[in-house]
Amino acid sequence: MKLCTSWLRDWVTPEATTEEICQKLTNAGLEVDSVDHVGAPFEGVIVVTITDVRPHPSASHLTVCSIRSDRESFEVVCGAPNVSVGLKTAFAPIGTVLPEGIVVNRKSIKGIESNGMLCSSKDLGLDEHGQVILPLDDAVELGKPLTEVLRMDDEIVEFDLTPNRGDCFSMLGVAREVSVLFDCNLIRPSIHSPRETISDRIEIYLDDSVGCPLYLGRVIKNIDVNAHTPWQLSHRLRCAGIRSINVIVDILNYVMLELGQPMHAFDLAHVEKGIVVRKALNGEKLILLDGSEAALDSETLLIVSEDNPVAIAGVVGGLASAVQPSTVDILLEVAYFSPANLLGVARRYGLHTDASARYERGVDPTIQKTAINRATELILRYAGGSAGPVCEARAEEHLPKRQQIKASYERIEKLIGCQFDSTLIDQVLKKIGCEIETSNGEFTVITPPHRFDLAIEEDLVEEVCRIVGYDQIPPLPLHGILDIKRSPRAMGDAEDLRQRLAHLGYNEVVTYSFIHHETNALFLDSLLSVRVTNPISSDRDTMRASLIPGLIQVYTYNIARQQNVGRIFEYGQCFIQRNDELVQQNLVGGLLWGRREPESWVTSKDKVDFFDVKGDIESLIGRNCEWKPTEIKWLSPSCSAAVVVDNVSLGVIGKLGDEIAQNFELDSEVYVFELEADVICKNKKLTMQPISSYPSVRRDLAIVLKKQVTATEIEVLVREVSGELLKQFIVFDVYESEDLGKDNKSLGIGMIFQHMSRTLEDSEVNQLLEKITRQLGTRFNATLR
Amino acid sequence: MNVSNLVDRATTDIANAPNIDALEQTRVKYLGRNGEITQLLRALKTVSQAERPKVGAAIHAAKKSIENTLSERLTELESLRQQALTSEAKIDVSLSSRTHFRGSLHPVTHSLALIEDILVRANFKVAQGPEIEDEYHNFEALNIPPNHPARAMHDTFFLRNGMVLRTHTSPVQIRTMEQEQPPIRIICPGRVYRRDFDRTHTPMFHQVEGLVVDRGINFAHLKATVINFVEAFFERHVEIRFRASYFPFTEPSAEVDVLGESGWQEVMGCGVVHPNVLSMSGIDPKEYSGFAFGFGADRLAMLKYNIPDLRMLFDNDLRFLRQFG
Repeated sequence: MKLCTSWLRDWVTPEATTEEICQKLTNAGLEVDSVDHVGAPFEGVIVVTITDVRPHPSASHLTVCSIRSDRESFEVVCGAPNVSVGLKTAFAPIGTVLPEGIVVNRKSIKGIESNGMLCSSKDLGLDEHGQVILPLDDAVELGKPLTEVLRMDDEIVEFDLTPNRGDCFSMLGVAREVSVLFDCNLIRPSIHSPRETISDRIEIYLDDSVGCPLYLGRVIKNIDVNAHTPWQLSHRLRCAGIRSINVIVDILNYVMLELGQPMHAFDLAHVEKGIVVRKALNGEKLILLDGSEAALDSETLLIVSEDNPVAIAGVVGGLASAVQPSTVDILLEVAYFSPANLLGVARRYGLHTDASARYERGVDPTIQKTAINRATELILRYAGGSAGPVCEARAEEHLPKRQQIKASYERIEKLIGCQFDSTLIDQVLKKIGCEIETSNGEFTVITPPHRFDLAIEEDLVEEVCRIVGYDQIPPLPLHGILDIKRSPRAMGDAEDLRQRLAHLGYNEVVTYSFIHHETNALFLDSLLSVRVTNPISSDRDTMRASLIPGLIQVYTYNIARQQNVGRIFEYGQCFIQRNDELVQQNLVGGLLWGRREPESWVTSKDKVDFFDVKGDIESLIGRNCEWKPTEIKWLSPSCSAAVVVDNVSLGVIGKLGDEIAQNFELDSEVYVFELEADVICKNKKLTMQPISSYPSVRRDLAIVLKKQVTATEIEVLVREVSGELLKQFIVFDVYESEDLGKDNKSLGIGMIFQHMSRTLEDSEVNQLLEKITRQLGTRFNATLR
Repeated sequence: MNVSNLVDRATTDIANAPNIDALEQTRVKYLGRNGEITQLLRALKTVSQAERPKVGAAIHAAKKSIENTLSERLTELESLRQQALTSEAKIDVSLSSRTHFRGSLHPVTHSLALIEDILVRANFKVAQGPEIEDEYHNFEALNIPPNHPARAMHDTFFLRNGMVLRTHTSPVQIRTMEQEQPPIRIICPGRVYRRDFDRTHTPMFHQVEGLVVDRGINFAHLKATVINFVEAFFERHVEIRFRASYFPFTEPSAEVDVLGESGWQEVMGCGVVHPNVLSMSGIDPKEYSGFAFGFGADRLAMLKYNIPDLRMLFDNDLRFLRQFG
């Protein structure tokens, strides 16, 4: 909501600058978003009156006007259709520089010399209306600089109101708050009941008196809807960001801004048979002011006349019954719609209006009569006409009552945490309009009708705190029992996991958890994906099932920025819908590309491969893992493996599959891993194993065997034969050559033996080696090289 | 016994010592346990009572002089040795090393770790929960009924199965209160989601919420906790202001601003837990009260590490990330 400070100063006159006022309002909960000047001031433009209008002798669309300021007279040529004798308007003399950068020169227009320029509001940079010259109020002084008239130095304050402070959604509300905070008087405009000169009445029937417990209507006839909206009103509306429509709508918007009560005017011809407030019937439709058609649902409260919907209650009016340039008789509507009933309506129809914003938060249920009188008074003054009596339909039982809150000084102090004098508490509550009945430390607070947000004692605590000032409450350190329990530390044990990966040279990334559904499907069966109904953009419509797509995106981003080497990882939740169960699990994934070592004179030029990832994962897990073949559709079948620890699969590693690489248009080899993070974190237990104090013996063998025999198979055999004596098994060489035969390979294996309680004899090691060699021969047909 | 002759000899010997080891031998020769000076001093007792002071003074002067000469020569030899070492070096130590890639943690991780580190010291426990939540835990249990205007403050992402992406980590507080009775002192870090995207908003960010519920907890406790936390996080004195605000789940509520170079910056929302929230989670508001606070770890990271645009955190440019190693 925006309001101008010149208006505020009519209501309250604290001895404080705008900045001080805004500061205090912000601290008290009415957040000021910005303070701006109305516009760039312009020098030289003055108020003149037109004294004579003659047709231009050689151009039918132009006129020659004589004009007069307080001191001088000029002749100008003008193309605007609204020139007329007696009109006061804006004049830019020769040499004036207008906000748009136009310099006004003396020039001859079709043979007639023009000594300056009459200005439209567009010329002055006020708005986009360029067809007519700016009409000014009759009361404006001739010769006065226009910047003063238009109050270009006025400030516009924009408020960001919280949903609970509906009472501040108006000048009255803000001024009331200022008067409380600065302890000054609230100067209300005097509002009189206008003279009723006609007796036309309107029938009002509240079919839904819960949704609408109060409805006031008044007929006003013979208005001049084309009358000019007085400058002060339109200035204040413009500062509030409300477009000027016609004098009637402008006045209603003005009173809404002034008092916080939304209002509507119907063309009487469309509603004279009476008003009914009821819920919509399914299938009913209403053409709205903007010409669009709303299909109404049965939860929507309507204003209906002769069974035709004429407005969505509290949100927007219909087009047919709207006040038109041809309208002469109107019906004014001022109602109280219950907020509970209106919640969500504006959102459902996508119609957020100034009225709906106020009704949703709630309006003062006692202000309707004042508002209708205020609007009538202004209409009669500026648009003429004759007013009828106020017709009222009221369901008192459904109107909100003033709240009675039981409170105690002791409890209020206890919740705030510092000593407050009970008279100070009373004083604050009275200032905001509460009535107080006290007895023995307990008291009952009767809230003012506009503070419908106050319902419980805690609400009073907040009022006391914010009016006194949050800064007046001294901080009080917490105390409590220090309980020495082991609690999961930072990010669970995942912090350790992340640290290890960082030490292994990986850079941690954080990517968005939502990705495109087609991308997700590459990593999962799309039937199992979790879709977002209202994504931020269409390429982020699915919750990720895997971290790999996000990592690939980071890879692509960095490759495009000449980062030809990288190791990245991410830790985060991934999502799968498994039948009825939504699985949200923490995964850790990584991606590597480019050189194995940073480039330098002494490092290898090799690129990363499978064994880099494998080594990193072994370091990460820190325990013995098994590596098993796996069939994951996004990994290369010839270069991938599953990691198994204690018979539980932790995840997979490998080269990214061709299909994925093509899909993402990757032009280099990329290696990845993805593991279940919680399992890695959970299984880490440190227990000491005994160390032998006797010497160990190493023996090496070079064996030739078929290529398809895996290193693990050899290791398993060696362990089986040697039992606990084997401390370490090393493959120190893998060699393939024509000499060995094309299906064969040679492995160099090293074995370290050690006994826990004695020195091993050479003879027993030799025997063991013989046995191993024999078994290798029988089981794998392996021979010594 | 000619002391001055002795000093001359020593001076020559010292000057001729080719290295530090030889110099040490010279030192021993004159000043060692059986050195010439030491022997002279021992022999002093044979000198007559009358002569003794004079002779003694001469010997001590000689000792002092030899010591000085020794120390000068030692410095000289040290510097010669250094020169020799340098000229003997076979390798160019300024050549680049056999380096490793330097990994790094994400700035948000740094920020989260620091936040947790600070609060865990104040006996807060870390609680976590799912990122996909039901509407009850994300809204209703926090005193935000359906259609409440406060829901518009959240710009929620909805899922097809009727669930939502949590808009804050407050549901974790609810889940904790449903299971535990006070005293409760927890922080809930994690990813949260809101439909918003500009320089200071991303549709996903990291929130940390804190909750304290116990007997006699009040607004002044909240203020002290927040102030101490903020100063511990930024590791300096920070101008902090509390201003009134509104959250359906706290009453009174406050926004916390810190004074930065470009004026006040909003960093946190907080307040005294609304009694409805306590009772809905099975805690008696007549017996207990509490406070809660919540803030974006990303926003704090921006302020602490001087990051101008929130979106940079999620671009994951390696040149950016490597700065946090």
